[in-house]
Amino acid sequence: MALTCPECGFELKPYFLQSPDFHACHVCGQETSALAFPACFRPPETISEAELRRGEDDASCFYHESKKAAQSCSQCGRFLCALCAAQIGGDVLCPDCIVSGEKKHKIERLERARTLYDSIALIVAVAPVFTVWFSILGGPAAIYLSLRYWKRPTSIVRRYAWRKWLALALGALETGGWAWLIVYLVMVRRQSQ
Amino acid sequence: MTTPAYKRLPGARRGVFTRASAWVAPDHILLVEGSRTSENYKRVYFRDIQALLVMKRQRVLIQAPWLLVPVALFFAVLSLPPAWRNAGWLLLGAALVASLLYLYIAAFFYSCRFYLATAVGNVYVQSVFRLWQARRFSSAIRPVIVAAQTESVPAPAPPGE
Repeated sequence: MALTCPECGFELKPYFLQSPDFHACHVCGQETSALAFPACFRPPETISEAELRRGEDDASCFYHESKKAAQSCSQCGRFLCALCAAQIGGDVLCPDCIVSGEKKHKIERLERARTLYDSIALIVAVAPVFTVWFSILGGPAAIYLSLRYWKRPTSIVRRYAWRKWLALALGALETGGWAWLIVYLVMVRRQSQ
Repeated sequence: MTTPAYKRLPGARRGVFTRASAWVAPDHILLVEGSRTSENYKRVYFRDIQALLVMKRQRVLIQAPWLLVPVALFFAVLSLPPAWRNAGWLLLGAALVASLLYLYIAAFFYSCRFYLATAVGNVYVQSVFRLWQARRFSSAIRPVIVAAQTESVPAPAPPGE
């Protein structure tokens, strides 16, 4: 157990764990309260040498020949020792599958960032409306962004598709409006001639 | 790999350019930070959370550059045409009085910074920045964390074995 003060980084005194009230840090004086869970009082998990040692009849780890295989990778099936097996969600993965899954965005739990193309398309469609003239560019750009990135996943937490539909509709409306205006002006000019 | 169903946790920060929120899945908390056009994710698994830390902060912290605002406004009023200057002084005075009143009232309240303490370090939760939000957040996730951590502990072997 080693809770640290978020302000100064020094270890908090044990009385922080005894009650969830606010206490002043003994180093920086910052008032902090701590609500501790069982994991705080548990000794760190260790893997003993005996757990890793490979016997004559044991299968070996794909990455460490001298170590005993404890599990197999859920994706590629490689045998893994207790050190190499990483539990992600309900699956056990090997280091290679983790790296490739992260690169190819196959494992959602490993994703660290996403670009929200649906929001960008909507901003591109809505923002130029206030300046009117820029909508001549904004409309087609919104249509392009919506269609180009139509299948790209949106936010992990909100899964509504209305943004790209609205961006597409607004983009079509703006582009259609400009097309109609240009055709109308050309016709008026021709009639006046 | 199936996508976990996320449920929103109390607290959210919605700025003009930045935003932050926290979500709970069956086995982890997802912290979403970013802007209107991109999101960054941090996952903290229930089994790794050692404690919830709430750090009390003043609700309003005035940083030195903000003190230049009244000075700039003072010169802005001086640069007004003489006919408008009296109205300018009046507006500036009213704005200053309102700001001081707000700061005086705000000084009675506390704000906070919220962290999830793990064995590796404290993870800052940007979306929780008021004490009432911290209380709601804690009461929402406390039972699930306790349940997850008590489940993962193997039952002690009966004596004699």
